[in-house]
Amino acid sequence: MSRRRATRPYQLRLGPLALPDWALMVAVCLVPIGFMVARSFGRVNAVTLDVEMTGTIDAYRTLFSDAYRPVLMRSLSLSGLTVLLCLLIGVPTAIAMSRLPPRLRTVALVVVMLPSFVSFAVRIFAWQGVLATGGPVESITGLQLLYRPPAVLIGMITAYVPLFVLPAYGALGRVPREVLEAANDLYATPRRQLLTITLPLAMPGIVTGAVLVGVLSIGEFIVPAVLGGGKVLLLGNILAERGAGRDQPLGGAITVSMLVAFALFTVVLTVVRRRHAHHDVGAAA
Amino acid sequence: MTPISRRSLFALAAAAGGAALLAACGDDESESSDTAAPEGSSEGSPAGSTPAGEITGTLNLLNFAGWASPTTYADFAARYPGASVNEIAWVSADDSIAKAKDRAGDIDVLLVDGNTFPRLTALGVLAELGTLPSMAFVSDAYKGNDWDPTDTYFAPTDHGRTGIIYRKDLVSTPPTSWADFFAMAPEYSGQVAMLDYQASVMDNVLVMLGKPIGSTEQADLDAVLEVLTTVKPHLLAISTEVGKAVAAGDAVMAICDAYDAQLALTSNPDVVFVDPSEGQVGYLEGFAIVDGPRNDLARAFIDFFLEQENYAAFINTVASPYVQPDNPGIDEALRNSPVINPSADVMAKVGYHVFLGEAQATWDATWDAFKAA
Repeated sequence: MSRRRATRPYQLRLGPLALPDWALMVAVCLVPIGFMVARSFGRVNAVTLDVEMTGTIDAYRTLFSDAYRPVLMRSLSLSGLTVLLCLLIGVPTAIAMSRLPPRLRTVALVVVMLPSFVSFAVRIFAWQGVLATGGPVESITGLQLLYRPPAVLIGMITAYVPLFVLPAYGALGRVPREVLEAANDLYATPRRQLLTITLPLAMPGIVTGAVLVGVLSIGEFIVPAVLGGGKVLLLGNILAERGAGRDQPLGGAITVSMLVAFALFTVVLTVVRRRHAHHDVGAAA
Repeated sequence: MTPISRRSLFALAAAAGGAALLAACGDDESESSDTAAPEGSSEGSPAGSTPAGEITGTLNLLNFAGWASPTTYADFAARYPGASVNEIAWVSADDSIAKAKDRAGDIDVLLVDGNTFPRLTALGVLAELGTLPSMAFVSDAYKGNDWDPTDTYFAPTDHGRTGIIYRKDLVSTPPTSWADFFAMAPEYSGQVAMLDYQASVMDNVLVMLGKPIGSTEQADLDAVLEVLTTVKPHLLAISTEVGKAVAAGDAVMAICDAYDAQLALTSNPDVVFVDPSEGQVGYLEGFAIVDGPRNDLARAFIDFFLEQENYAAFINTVASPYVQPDNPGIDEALRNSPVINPSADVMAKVGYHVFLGEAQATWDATWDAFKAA
């Protein structure tokens, strides 16, 4: 008790220092989100673009109508595939990087991050050239991919794999070598070490990477606009084309729906992670 | 002259627009000493009679990216020391409305067509053009439009029409009608491009179906959606760069504006532009002033833009059908091009976009359903 009393004044002194941060967070994050939530229950005048706050749920009806269902399904499936492929490519890459000697790790990290030093738009337009008719991909494989869903998927994976690798590598790098050496001494096979030690301990970083890729890819609009030829529309395109100016209620409805979906996704992941952690602790005990 | 395609590269245009807006934010100190004109009056001195020394500041111009001669803005700055033009890239008609509304985008002059113009007048954001001497160079054929019968707010700059382009070396039977275009799409599946411009595409499908341009009947719009969703699996792309795609051979035929077709056939002689036999939809574009603190600067710019020499430089750059038929500076190649100067028979079948009013929402829903499919 006495210890708690002793620390309390120290905490009180620090509290007010965080107020500007909280004020900034409220001003630049929560207020705009609140504005979007409110707008999502409005109705837009198609001529003047004035939004009348009527409390209607028409924007949500539109978003989940038959007309937009293909966009929703396409966005979810492409985003899910992107996360999955980023996991399949990124986890082995991050594991391999984490097992390199320290000097080579830095080199590998620079190599993985190198594409990110080039403007995102430039990279995507470069892929347009690579996938175009007569481009290297078509010349070698005979496949015409540009302006088709696979081109969008390729663009998204190449854009987001580095973003996935970074947190995964960070988490894998923190797996204590002593634990792995102990497992080795106890004749655990490499596969067992990977599945029971390395991946569980690195799970927070892998999940962070997956969430990062999922959030960004479902709202992506440059990749489908450039590599999808304007006909592979995702939610981000609807937001950019309609939500941003023409139909703010629909834009609000898309934003709110995405926020709710990601909140649920994050809650589920957190619960799974905690259960996993408890299971590991129990097993270890 | 650099071939330029307007309505290009949505993402880049948006980025450029954002950058231009940021640039514009820091420039107010040096602007004209104009005071804001009273709402609805805007009777600043006409540019033609305004001494050059009074025209200063930075004009925010919402325009198709590069829809001017390469030297237009620099020449304007040279004519009026202390004045400059900040081009903000056009993104969409709705974006234009959003930026003009309450001067949210700090736009002084914007390029509009007859479909968008009534929306601006509904908002009450426009300032009068005043007396612009260079308007005398604009043919009467493009003045006195339904949406601005007294030429008070709208200064015509260019016009055009939407038709079909195809590659004569890659297509066995040339399309001559909209019906041909849509019927041939399966044969050339994956090699057909569609213009990413709602009004042009939907209106032309209505023309093909024998329905009135701008029809708001749900049955007509359902029929349009049926045609568009049927052809969608065969499309290479829905793009603003269809001329380039056909010239390059990525697509063998496309729905395309005349100016884009002219640029395409200039770069590749195998490209052919067709005025569909059923008729087609056209447009007339021009500048309007968003009422604000730089109205005189805006008037000076529009007047300068329409001066014969400057206007010819603009047309020779963008290869658009023009509104100054007697301008001697326009290239012979453009004068003699049937794409740019069509016959009276062709023009007799050209209809124009109409203002849709509240029915715009129904059109938007139809277009979105097509693009989302």
